[in-house]
Amino acid sequence: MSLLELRNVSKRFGGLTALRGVTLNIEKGGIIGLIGPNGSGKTTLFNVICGFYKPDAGEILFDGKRITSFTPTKICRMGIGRTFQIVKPFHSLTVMDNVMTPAIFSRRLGDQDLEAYCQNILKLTGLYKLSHVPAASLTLQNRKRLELARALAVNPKLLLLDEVLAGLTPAEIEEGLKIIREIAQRGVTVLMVEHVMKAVMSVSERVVVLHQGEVIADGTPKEVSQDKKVIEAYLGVGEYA
Amino acid sequence: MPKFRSIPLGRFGNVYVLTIICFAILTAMFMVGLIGAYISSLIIFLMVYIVLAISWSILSGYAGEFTFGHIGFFGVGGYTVALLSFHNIDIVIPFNILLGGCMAALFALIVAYPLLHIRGWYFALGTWAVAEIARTLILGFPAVTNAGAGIFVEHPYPPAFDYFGALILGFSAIIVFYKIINSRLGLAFVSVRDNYDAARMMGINTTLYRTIAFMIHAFLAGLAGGFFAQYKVFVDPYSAFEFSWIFKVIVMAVIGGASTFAGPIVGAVLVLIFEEIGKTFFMRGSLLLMAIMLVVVFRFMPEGIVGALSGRSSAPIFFKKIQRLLKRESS
Repeated sequence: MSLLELRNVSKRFGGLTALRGVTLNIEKGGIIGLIGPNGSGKTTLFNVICGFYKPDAGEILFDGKRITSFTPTKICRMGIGRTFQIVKPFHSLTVMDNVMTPAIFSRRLGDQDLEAYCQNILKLTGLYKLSHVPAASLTLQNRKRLELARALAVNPKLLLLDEVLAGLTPAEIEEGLKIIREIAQRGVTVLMVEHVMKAVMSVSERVVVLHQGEVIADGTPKEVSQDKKVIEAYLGVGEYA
Repeated sequence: MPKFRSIPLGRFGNVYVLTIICFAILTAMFMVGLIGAYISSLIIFLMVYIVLAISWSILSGYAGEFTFGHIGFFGVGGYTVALLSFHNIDIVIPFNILLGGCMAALFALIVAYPLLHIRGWYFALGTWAVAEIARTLILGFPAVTNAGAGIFVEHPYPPAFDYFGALILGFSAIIVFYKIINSRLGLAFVSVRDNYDAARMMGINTTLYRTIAFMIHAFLAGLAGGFFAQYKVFVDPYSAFEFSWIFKVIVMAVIGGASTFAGPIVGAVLVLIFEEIGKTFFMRGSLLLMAIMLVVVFRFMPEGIVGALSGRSSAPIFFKKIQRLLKRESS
């Protein structure tokens, strides 16, 4: 049984079709890259999965259960963690409390020692030394790490990463990839949207390409990078050039 | 239970001990006879102000929903106490005031459904409309509420009763406020305020927590209203829903720092002092004084006096110095 299943999901904003019958199966385990040119519907897809938008058509199944019109809160409690492309920290809380919040309210950790759990996550994401700094004073790299830490704190089965590497330096990207690999090794399925092509291609086992709201390719990084449709979508042919 | 260190409390040591000491001092002074009628009335006003400023801060400072409708719940509390007396329903004193708070909270729950679907300024204007609706309802049923003529509230208790009632009310509100902002509830409020979408994605049921914040704020405002009606012995739709009060309460919370623990309390004290100075020297000049104070605070301490002192804002050098002094003392 697949962990996440999208069946013919469509989303329109007025006259614009952002998602056109997207069908996607994600098995448990591993890192899956989701790529596509700007405006191809990647973030919309995330928002539909997380319940920020209701799809106009289609079904979404998570762990075999239908989650199509659930609220983000409920979806989080079922085990989907998500980061935001534009970071959204709780700026007046410390880094520790930022991570504590999802650990408490996702209610997915049972009787565990939440503080120890959060400290672990902060160590993994390299924020441990900044535990008691207000989130407002973090640098962009650390804010991106905080996004990741918070998404992890819900103890997710599926982690949706929305461009966590964008805007970082090559060295920082390297560190980020290391963290993401580490997360996947711990048994969390990762679906990541990313623009930094080298990073996605090196880290993911499978890459899905979206173009104008449609899945145009799906396969290993090598297959995808040689796919004619993908090359056309990125480089353009005739009218798009 | 983890301690949420980052919710700014200001530097106030052990709050429980301080509260008990203050309560004891005020009690002792009254017993000895140091507190005359004038000072005691000031303290009663102060306590009502503190409760109102705290209640506004919970919803607007912590949960981040700016409200103008505060006074509506104050009025509902006041009218609950008044109507009990008007219809000769005998409920002994603390319970009629508590019932006032509960009625206000119930009213909040009813209006929460439409109100909490809107956010930001629309919410603020919506709460204002709700306050007006409450007043209009009271004006609209003269047989039940005596409409514009107002109601005299029976008050067969000695003045000491008012004084101690006010103290108990004020200090329990302070303790409750402290408890709330240091609990998971407070953490949820701040998260919803700081980032609504992130809070939803982190498993916080935002609608639930906004409703809770709204009801707590209404309950406290209702208690204050109920107590005030009992103390003033008279309510009418104009004084119970007096709009200038909401201005005063917002000034208190904002001057002190609406998202700090000590802020609303400091603000209430300052507003009371300014009001008295204004009344004594300039007749109606207290509003002018408050307006000047508000502008100064907005310009130099956007997070309020306590916010600036606890080092969370771009306070000017003068306050930075004080801050440094405080830090040196505490380390």
